[in-house]
Amino acid sequence: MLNYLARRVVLMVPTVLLITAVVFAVMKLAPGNPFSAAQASGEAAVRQMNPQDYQTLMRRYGLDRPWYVQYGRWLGTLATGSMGDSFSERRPVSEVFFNAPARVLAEGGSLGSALNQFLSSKFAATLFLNALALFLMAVVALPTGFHAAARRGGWFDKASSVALYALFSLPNFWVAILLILLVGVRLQWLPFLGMRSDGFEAMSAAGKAWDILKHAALPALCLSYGGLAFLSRFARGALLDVLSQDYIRTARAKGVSEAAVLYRHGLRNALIPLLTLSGILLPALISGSVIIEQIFSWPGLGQMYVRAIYSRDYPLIMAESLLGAVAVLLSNLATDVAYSVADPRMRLE
Amino acid sequence: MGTAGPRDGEQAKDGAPGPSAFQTFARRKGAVQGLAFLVLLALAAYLAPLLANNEPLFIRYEGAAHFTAFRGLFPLNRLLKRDAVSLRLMEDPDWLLNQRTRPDPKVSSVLLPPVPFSPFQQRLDDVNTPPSWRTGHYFGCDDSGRDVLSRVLHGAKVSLLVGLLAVGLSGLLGVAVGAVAGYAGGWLDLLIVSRLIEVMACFPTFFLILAAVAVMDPKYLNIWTITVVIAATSWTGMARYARAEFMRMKGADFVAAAKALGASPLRLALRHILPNAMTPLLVNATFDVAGAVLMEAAISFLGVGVQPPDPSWGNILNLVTRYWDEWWLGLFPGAAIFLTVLSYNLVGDGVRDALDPRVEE
Repeated sequence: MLNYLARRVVLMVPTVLLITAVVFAVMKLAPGNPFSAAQASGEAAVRQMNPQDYQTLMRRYGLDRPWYVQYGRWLGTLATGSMGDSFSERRPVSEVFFNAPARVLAEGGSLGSALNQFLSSKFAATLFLNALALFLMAVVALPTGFHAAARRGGWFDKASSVALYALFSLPNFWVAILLILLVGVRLQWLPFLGMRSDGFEAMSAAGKAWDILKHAALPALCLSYGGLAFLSRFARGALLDVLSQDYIRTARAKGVSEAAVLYRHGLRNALIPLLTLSGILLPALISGSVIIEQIFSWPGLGQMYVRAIYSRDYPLIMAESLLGAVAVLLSNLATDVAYSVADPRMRLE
Repeated sequence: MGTAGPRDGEQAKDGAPGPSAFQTFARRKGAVQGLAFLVLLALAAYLAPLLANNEPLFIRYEGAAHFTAFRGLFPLNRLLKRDAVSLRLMEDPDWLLNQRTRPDPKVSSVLLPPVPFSPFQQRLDDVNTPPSWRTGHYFGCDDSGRDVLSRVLHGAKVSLLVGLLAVGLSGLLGVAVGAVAGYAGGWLDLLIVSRLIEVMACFPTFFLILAAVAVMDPKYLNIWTITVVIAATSWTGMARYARAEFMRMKGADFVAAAKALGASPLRLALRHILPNAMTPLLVNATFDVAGAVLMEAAISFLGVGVQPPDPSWGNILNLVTRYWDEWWLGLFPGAAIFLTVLSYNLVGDGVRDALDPRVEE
C-alpha cells in the first residue's frame, strides 16, 4: 500500500508541472500583460504611466525576461514553498493563502494562536465552505436517489427526477442572486455578505460558530445543489444497478424481508460506485467556489482568485491553479484507495 | 461506403426496424420544446434590431419612406450607411418616442418596433426604473437607464454565437487531434495527447479561462476572442471521445476491408471511421454547447467577458450585485441563461436517445 501511494504521488509531479505549464502558457499567449492591461482599464495614474516607468515595472517583476526564465523562476519559488510574491498583496503567496501559522510558532506564539491564525486564513474559509457544501450534498442527495430507486416509477421518483433535472441546468450564480434577493434582501432572514457579522470578536464561542454558519448557509446551498442533482441521479442509478444483481434475487428468493434486501444488501453495495464521483464533483465544486465566493464576498480563495484576475496578479493566479489541480489529484488518489478498501475485488497495482 | 450497416442492438428485438431517430426525438416532449425555444431564441437574436430598437420599422419622413430598423439586420448593417432618420436619432434618441407629445411636422406616419428602445440608449429619466406596463419598460431599466428587455434580446446573440461557435471550433480541433492520436497512436499519443487530455480532465477549466482573459487587454475582450478562449480550453473533452472511438474502430472489419481496397489513411479516417463515430461526438457536443453558454455567462458576469456597453446576459446580471434592490436586473437575464441551458440539455438528451442504440427508455 505504502509503495503504491509513493508511486502515485511521484507520478503526480509531472502532471502538476504540466498543469502549471499550461496555465503559464495560456497567460503568456494571451495578448497583454499586467501593466498593459492596467493601462488600458486602470486609473488615470496608471494610464498616464510613461514608457520608462513601464520598463522599470516590467523589470522589477521580471516580466521583461523570456518566458522560460520566468517559468523557471516561478518553479524556484515553488521549491522554497513561498510560491512567489503576490503583485497586489506584496507578500508571499503562501502567506496570503494560509496566514503563515508556522511563522507564528517560529516567533514563539502558542499552538492555539497559530491555529487561530490558520483558521482565519483564506484557505480555511474555502475549505470550510466546500466541506459544508459536500456534507449538504451527501445528506440530501443520497436518501433522495436511493428512495427514488427503491420505489422506481413511483411519484417520488418522477417528481424528484424532474426537479433534479431542472436544478442541474440552473446556473449557480443565478440561484445565488435569486436567494440573496429573496432571503437576504426581501425577507432579511440571513446575512449574505462576508463571513462574520460586526462585533464578531465580542461573541461567545457558540455565538461565533452560529454566526459563521448563518453566513455560510446561502453560499453552501448554492455550491451544493448542482452536484446534489448529479449525485442523486447517480445514486439512483447505482442502487437500481445493484437491485438487478443475482445476489439480490437470491436474497429475495430465500425470504429476506424487503427492508433487509434494500438496506443490508442493496445500499451497502450501491455506495461503492459513488466513491468514483469525487473526481467529477471536486473540479466542479472548486470552479463553482470561485463565482459563489465572489457573489457572497466570502473571504476565501475563490474570491481571492477573482481579485487576482482583476489585478492580473500572475503569482497568485499560478498558485491557485496549482492548488486546485493538486486538490483534485489528491482526491482522485484518495478515491482509488477508498475504492480498494471498500471493494476487495479491486487491487492496487 | 460512407455509412456502415446496422450495429449490434440497433434493431428492435422482434426483428422489425425500430422507430427512426427522428421519430424517437419527436416523441420526447422536452426535447421538442427545448428545440422550439432555441429556434425562437435564434430568430429573436437575429431579428433583435426589428424587435427592440429606437429606430422605426417604417417612417415617412420629409415625404420619403424609410425602413430604418431593417438596415440594422445582418448583413445590411455591414453594407449600408446610416440614413437620414438614423442620423436624426443619433442627435435626439427620444425624437420618435416623443412623437405623441411633441409631434414633428416632418413625420407623417411612423411604426416603431414592439420594444421602442435601443440597447445602448441611456435615458437619465429611466435610471433604475422597475418593470412596468405603463412606462413600456417590461423588464425595467438598468443603472444607466437602458431598457433591460432590449438588452436581453440583443444579448441573446452573444450567448448563441459563443455557444455554437466555441463548440464547433473545439469540436473540429478535438476531433482532429483525437483522430490522429487514436488512429496513429504511438509516442505522439502516449507522450502528448493522452497526457494533455488526462491533465485537462482533472483540472477546473474555469480557472484556465479566467487566467487567459485576465491578462487580455479589455479592448480585445469581445465575443470572438471569448469564443476562441473557451474553445481552446475545452477541446480536450472532445479529443478524448474522438480518440476512444478511433481506437475502438481502427481494428474493425469494415476498416480493414476499406484498407484492403487501398483507401488512404485520410480517407479511412474521414469517410469510414468518422461517420461511425459521429453519434457519441454529436451527443457530447450538444451538452458542450450548454456548458459554453454557461461559461460565457459566467465570465461576462465576473466582468472579464463581453464588455459593456455591448449587452450580454452575464454582464447585465453583474449589475445586480452592485444594486441589490433592483431585482429585475437579476431575474430576467438569469432566466434567459437558465432557459437556454435547460433547452440545450433537453435537446442533448433527445439526441442521445434518438441516436444511441445503447440507451433504453
